[in-house]
Amino acid sequence: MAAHVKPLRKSAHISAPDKVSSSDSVSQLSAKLQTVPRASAARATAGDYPRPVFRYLRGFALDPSLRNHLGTVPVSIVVYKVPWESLMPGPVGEYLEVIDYDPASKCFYEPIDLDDSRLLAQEGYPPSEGVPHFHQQMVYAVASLTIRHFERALGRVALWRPGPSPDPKNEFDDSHYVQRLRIYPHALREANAYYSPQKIALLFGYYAASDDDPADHIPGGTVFTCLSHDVIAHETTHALLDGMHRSFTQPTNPDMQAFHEAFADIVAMFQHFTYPELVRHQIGQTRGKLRTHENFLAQLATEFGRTTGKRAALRDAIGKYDPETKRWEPSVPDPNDYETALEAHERGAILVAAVFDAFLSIYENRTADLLRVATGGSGILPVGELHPDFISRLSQEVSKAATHVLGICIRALDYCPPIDLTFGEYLRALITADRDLVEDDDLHYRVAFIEAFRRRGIYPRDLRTLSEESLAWRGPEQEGYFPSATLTRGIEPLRGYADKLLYAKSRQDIFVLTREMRIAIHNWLQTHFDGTQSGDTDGAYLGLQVTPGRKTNFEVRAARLANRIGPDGNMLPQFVIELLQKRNVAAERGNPVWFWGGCTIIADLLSSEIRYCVRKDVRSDSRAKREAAFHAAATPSLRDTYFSSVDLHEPFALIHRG
Amino acid sequence: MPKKQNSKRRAPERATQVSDGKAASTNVSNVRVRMYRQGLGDCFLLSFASDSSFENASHLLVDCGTLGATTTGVTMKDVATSIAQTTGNHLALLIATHEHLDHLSGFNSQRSTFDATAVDQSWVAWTENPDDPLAKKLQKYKGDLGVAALAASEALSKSGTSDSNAKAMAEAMNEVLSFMGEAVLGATFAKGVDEAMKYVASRGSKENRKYLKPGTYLQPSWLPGITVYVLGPPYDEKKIKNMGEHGNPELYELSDSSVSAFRASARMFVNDGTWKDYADSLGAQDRDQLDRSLPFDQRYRIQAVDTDPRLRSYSNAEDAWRRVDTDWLFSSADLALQLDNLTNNTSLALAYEVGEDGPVILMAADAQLGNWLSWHDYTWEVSRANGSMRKVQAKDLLARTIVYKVGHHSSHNATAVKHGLEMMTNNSLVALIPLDKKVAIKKKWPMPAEKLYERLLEKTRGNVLRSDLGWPADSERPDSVATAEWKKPPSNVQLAVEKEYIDVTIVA
Repeated sequence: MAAHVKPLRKSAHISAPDKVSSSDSVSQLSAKLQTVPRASAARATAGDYPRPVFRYLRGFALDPSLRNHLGTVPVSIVVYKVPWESLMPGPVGEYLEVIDYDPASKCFYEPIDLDDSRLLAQEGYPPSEGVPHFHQQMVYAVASLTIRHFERALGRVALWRPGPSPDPKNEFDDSHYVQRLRIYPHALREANAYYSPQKIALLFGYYAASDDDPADHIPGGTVFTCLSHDVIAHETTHALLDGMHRSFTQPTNPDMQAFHEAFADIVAMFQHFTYPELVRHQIGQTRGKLRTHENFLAQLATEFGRTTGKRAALRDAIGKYDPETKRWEPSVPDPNDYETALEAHERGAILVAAVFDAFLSIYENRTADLLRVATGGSGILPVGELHPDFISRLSQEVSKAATHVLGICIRALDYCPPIDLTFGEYLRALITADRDLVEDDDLHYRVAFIEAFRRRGIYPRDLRTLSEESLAWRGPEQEGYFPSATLTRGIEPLRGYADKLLYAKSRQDIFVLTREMRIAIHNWLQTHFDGTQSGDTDGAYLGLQVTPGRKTNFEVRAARLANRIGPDGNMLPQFVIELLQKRNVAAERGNPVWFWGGCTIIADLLSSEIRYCVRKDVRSDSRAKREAAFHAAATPSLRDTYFSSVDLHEPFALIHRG
Repeated sequence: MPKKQNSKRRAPERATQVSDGKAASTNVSNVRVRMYRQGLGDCFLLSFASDSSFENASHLLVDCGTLGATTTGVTMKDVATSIAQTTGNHLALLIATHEHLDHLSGFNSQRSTFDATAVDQSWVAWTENPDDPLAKKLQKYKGDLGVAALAASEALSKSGTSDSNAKAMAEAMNEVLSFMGEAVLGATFAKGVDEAMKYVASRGSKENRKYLKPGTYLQPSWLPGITVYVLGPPYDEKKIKNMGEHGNPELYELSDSSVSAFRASARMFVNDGTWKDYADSLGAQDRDQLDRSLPFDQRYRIQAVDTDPRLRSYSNAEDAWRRVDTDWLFSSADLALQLDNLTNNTSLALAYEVGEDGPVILMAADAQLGNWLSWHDYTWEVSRANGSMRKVQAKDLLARTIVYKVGHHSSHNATAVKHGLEMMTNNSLVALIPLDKKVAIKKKWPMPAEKLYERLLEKTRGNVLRSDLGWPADSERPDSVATAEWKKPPSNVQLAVEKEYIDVTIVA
């Protein structure tokens, strides 16, 4: 469809929200996504029937709580349009495996067969809190949609993190391919849900609503986290992000954990805008003023927050419940927040608020003309309900803006350093990624982002000005720092892998190919570092420690193909390579203290040039000092007094607990 | 180096003065705070006298317990004997701060010695008052948390035979619960501490038994010149349950239903039979509770058997690393932490002021942050000897504190920093830490908390006395403290380290 056409943001005015994808810049790649075979079809269809594109599954729009209010009951149920794949009972598909084992109840629940004709004929199991089949369907549907959005934005299939090393003697062996993320909808008996990198699984809990303040529930009634759209999307995003950036779970600075949380929130929140009924309803309710009026679109986990005694949604990107006035109030951005909020969720909320702020500016910008038309230029809407056509147009624009912003946020992941990310660096990655994709920023998206980040005091280190030009990562020319010709020559042979990747038949093939490629890159760099004249200077260029006469130990953490559209509409295949190295920075002999560094290389395959090298220099003493100071400043919790000896290997379980 | 105080042992004899409220003639000018060295636990004997001989002193015992001693070899029996000898079998006042074994065990194990000691008055916190509705509510909540945590720890121990994570967790749980007594499923939870607390309260006759409420103060006639300020526990459910500023904002209070549902599941989990057999074995009430705690109707529940083809991928041996059999039990740490925090927050926190606007001895037991912060809610209006009134606030008391009994064996969470330690600005500050580090290491608890300990060493210039080791080693001197200042006792305080105890004496 839109292949070989440079995406223009304005051109999208006419398409309906559910067709947004058709103009998406990477839609030419979505065809490729379709070619990857889904689950081995238990009952593969014979005959000439056309293959369905979607599976329609009913579910709660946000969570069951919307059903309990007259105002929201009309939009409480939506029909999720899930990418089609044939499924085994569970559901078990290409990416996901739902296992409804409930250890606390000593039992399991019959897995749902979504390919059963009775369910195919009626948009899946009818929404019901009391039937486990529906729970299985809900987690499957929302997690599938989240994966889909991720793949859309990146233009390639998603892979989960590798499983435990098959070689007991080598913990770094990451050849263990794990096809499916497991989802346990009823694994925990607490108000918590988490992604377990150790098990490559999502664990959801159920719990009794607060007795004193149960919100819309019976006091003590059971609440299921696996029925919350936001919780499912949030946890799935953790898994997707971890599959791409394994080291982002290492808390090396105050932003790292916060980023994981914030990113998961951003994806969950912008997913709200893909449900047209909900968007229309909320646009109507707020009269299009999403910035100043409380709305579900900007909130997360309403039911979870309310049933755990918070009286409000768990997160809110634009405002909060004021316990004094007992009213919702819009938040005012404070440039000091970034300095003072150090707890992962509080800090993550700053990033979420910044991205949402940018999104709202974009939305307001996109609809300024509509507002003028609708108000005869006064900008003051008439009293009473808005015209349904006006609501439709606003809804289309807001959904489009949301799709764009979500895409920008996800695509930035390819431009992030492999470790130790800060919010400022994320902003730089985001601006660079977007500049590379959309040269003509006619609707000022990037300015909206820069302004929103500045309002919250999020600045990259070592930058004097905050302009688009200064924020974008610098190429060798701007840096005045060049890799040797030997190094750039090594890029060319990667073209063969790019071809192979394009025609890979399955996700497993891609996984295996990627690993082969990483080994090849490692061998090439190893020879270069330790055997050629420019080895040590190129090592320095890549943020690594290369000492002549000594074997260089380093890791090629990732290598992936990313396709970019050039200024004249042609495809520019790019390669992203992540290198990592560790250095012992212990002050004394004895137990080593590992400090990690390296870089993300973004290389153009056509010209065989390094476009950017995003460094986290392993030789940087000042960064090592900052990291040590961060660890030293950590305030222990009561849990640390009693449970510091128990290593759970579950970084996300504890973020959500005490 | 400090001069050793001449530790004069008095022959056991009945004190001549009976503290029946009769006013003593001369004001108290000398106070001795004695920290016993019985390991990881608190036992403090405070003696008040009008002269430096302490011959006619009034004695006050705050707590008597231990979780074990390996460093000093001082036994609970040694302590009880010493108390009896020092006080001549007569305590003017007996105080139990909160229901934890490390503060109360001696009242059970040395019962006969305490029975033989005369006690004039007993003070405990309002949280122990059987007639107080909020106290009753908290007691019930504590009991529920405890029983659920105990059931979970049992379930974890059982799974621990095959799962090393579960084993480590079970051990950690048992250590936290050890504050409450032996963790034995089925036994009445925390029977030992409960009994000890009741015993202490019962030693004062009805009119001489006080359930203290915060914001009040006492000027006992038998302690002329001494004002005792009641700082905590706060009479406020929220503040008592407060998990502290380092807690996660998402950590929410566990509801009664959540706690009892968790317990019902944990008990079923420990049982070897199927859920059906187990449910059938229960009485009607328990069965009903179990039923209500399960998320779905019975018709949806299928007994989990590894051979069931529907569970094939879950049971697959190659994928054993992905099983989730025990993960749910790990949230029991929340139960144990809330229980521990809640109990510590019921600590009776008292400040003893020697003379009007004089130096203060701060005994806050194991108060956690919620307790500490609440002290700043009050202003005490105290009458002076000349009849005029003075206003006293927590910050004044903290600024005048010269003896600080460090909370909870110097774990990091029992000394408020901004609203506590940093307000203790008096130059003569001395800190006492009842701790046995070896016992703590065995229990895998980081005590003393590194940063707190470091700051105490700075603030007191080395006058931090630990019950296991006595004086800090010279190698521990922080750079900010000059060698000449290091471990130099304040002019108005004498410090002495003896085998069984450490004495801090405030002289007039």
